Amino acid sequence: MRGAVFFAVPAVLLAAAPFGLSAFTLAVLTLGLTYGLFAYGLDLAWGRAGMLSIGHAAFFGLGAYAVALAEKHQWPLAVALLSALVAGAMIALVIARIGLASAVPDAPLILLTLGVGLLLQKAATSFTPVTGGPNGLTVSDPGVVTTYYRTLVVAAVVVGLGSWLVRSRFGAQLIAAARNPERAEQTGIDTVRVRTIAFVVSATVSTIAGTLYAPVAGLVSPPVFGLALSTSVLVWLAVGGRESVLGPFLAAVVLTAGQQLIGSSWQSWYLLGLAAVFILVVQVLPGGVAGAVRGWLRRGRAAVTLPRVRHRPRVVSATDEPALVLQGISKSFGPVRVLDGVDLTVTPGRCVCLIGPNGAGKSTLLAVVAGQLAADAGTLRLFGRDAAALPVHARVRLGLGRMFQIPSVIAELSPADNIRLARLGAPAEIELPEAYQDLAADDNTVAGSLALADRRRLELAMVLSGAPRLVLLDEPAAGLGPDDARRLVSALRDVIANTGCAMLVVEHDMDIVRGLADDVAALHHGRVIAHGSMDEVVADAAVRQAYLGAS
Amino acid sequence: MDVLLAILSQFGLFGLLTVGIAIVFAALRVVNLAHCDFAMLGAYAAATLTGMPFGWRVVAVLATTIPLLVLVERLLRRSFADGLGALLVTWGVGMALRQIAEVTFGATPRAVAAPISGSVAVFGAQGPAYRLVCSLVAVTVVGLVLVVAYRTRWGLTLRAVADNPAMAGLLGTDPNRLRTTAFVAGGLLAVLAGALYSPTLAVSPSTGFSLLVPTFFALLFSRPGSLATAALAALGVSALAVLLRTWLSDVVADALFYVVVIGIAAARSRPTIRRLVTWSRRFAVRSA
Repeated sequence: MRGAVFFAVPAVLLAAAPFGLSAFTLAVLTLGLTYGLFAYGLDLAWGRAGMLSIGHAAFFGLGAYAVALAEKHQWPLAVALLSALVAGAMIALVIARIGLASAVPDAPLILLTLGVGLLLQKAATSFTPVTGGPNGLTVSDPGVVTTYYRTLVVAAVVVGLGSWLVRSRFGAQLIAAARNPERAEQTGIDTVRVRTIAFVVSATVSTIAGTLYAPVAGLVSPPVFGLALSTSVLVWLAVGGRESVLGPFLAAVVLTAGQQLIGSSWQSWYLLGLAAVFILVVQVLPGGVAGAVRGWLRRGRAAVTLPRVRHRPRVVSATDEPALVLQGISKSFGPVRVLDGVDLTVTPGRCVCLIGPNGAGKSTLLAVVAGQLAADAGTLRLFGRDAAALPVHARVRLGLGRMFQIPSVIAELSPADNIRLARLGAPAEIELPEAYQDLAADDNTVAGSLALADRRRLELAMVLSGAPRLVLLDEPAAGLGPDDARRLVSALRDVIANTGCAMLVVEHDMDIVRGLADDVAALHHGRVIAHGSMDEVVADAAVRQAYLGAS
Repeated sequence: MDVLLAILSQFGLFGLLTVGIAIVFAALRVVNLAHCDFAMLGAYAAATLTGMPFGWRVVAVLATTIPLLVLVERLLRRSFADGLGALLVTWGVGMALRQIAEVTFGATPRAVAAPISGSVAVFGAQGPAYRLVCSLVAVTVVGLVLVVAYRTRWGLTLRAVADNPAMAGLLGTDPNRLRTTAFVAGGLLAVLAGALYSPTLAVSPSTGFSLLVPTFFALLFSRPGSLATAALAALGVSALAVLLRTWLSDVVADALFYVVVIGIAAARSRPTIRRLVTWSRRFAVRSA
């Protein structure tokens, strides 16, 4: 309700603007709106998907040139617009795929967006017969008021669609994928796909903003692809605040008005001032104006909340197959052969503990099963399906859950939102055990501020909420005191008893292994040297040899 | 032969810039987007301080930019925890430097007279004498930097901090001090590059920025923290740029340069090709 008023007041004011403003002011406001839409488009990439682009004017320019070229060469406008949108989307797709292929996508993304912008600017400058060269092309204007309303309506529709998108299931996935890709993958989200889509949508919105810009500016020339515009849009968004709708629009309108008022002879000084403001905002107020306001409104609570999305149950066929079958799994790092033909079967409802001296290959084996590493050889079947080539999130959707050695949760969200997120990807809604209800109801803190034991509890609650059929745990008791460790062991035993899921646990502490394990598998030099009950394995001569060097 | 000389000259410029940006990246883990704008400062010093001989202009600009570099590094340190924040600060600094140059010197490009005139013939190829001299100086400096990085204690510390700053800190190096030194050293290399090559460039506020993309590409193609691969990558990028320019017109060559380099980046990101690269590296390790 308060949100509706929040948007209704500016909407009414904007709709009434032509009645109270001079033609010049209205033209400036129109320009500010197109720039605001451009900044809103960049926000989908930089703010929502965490993918910084410093050449976003490339997409804006595509839209502007589409309108100008259609007028110059008498091409049908619809065809020109559609080709610009498709071209922008394709370029964005390629850039996002290349960028996200590296673990830290910032540098490749910056370079590629910069390069594409410069390339397009060069093309526009050089192909004079088509583009008019450095002088550009003129675009006719149907009248200040018409242009204003057209800009306003298109911007409102685009922002409406964008807001619907970020409040959808996709938006929830994007929040997780941009902040903690590792954990997002573990809740069944294809992070590369989600972030790529966000980047492409961002490019499309920017292209649309460019098409609106052409008639407002009256002239489209190569600098529309350029550095100054790309930098300006970064500044508007940084000042206005990311992950906000009003912030970028307000900043764009105010700063554009400032630029128009200051006159052309002071443009260099204006840009210098903008650079100083940019450095200051990045250093002092990283969230921009909107971020500061949000921080003040939501003191102490999570600044980001997950959109409330209905859970969609997924049908997972029940099988009698073993949860996990490994045959001849091998993995080498350079000349070092870490796994050397591992055979292991985990049946439903059983907890298998992996033990072995340091460097035996336990964590590598867990990473191969989870999908973080690809085995060089061997077969890997999950619930009867060949899973050797499946990516992490696809294995999660088969029913795999994973806890990390260092608990990995989405630090910016509240514990309750973390659990809601995990439930989104689950095949069925699971009632969490009593011991985790406090976390599932906690909307007033951020997960990043929890103590280590609570963060581990939260991670386990997230894994359980995903209704897993096989859980992988890497030293679940590491860093916990004896009491917390005992509580964790009994919680895990309860989970197995109640849900019938299987577990594969790497553990060093023999007390915990004794409390937890149905079966123990001992790994040494990348091979399973013993597999059986705790007592059998402890008595095994090869195991004693591996651990103690005694015969 | 002409082509080889052109590659040598281009490599001198890109090599200095890339090794400089690689030093900064190694120590701070931040791509300094203002790096090439420091080169622009060097070029302007050579263009405007015409009262003194060329060599002294270079020395003067190197000395005066040290406080500026220290200041920028201090700025970066404030937002160091947030990697993207530091990156944005360098972007802002670069923008500010370009605008300051535009406000002070105007946007029209200037020409700088070369301190050595005339032309020389090397192996039958005729070329401006200064071009050859400055290429040789630049390549020598790149070589010296590599020697420092791989043969001295400071270089070892730099590589240690690049690899694992926390561990290096525990072993008794002060990462903060090293970061300042590295930032200044890397920035000075850029200033030197700009000043040395100013007679071959049209000096304008965007001189530095136009060098950023090739330098950045070379940095991206090198292994993080490894200055030798950075120099190699700079050589590859210069060879590509020069070869394309000898075969094609300038505009087409520039466009194709981007296309080729983006193509290589795309190819490197494909899992199959990445695997091929790691495989060949493994082979190299084994045979070594």
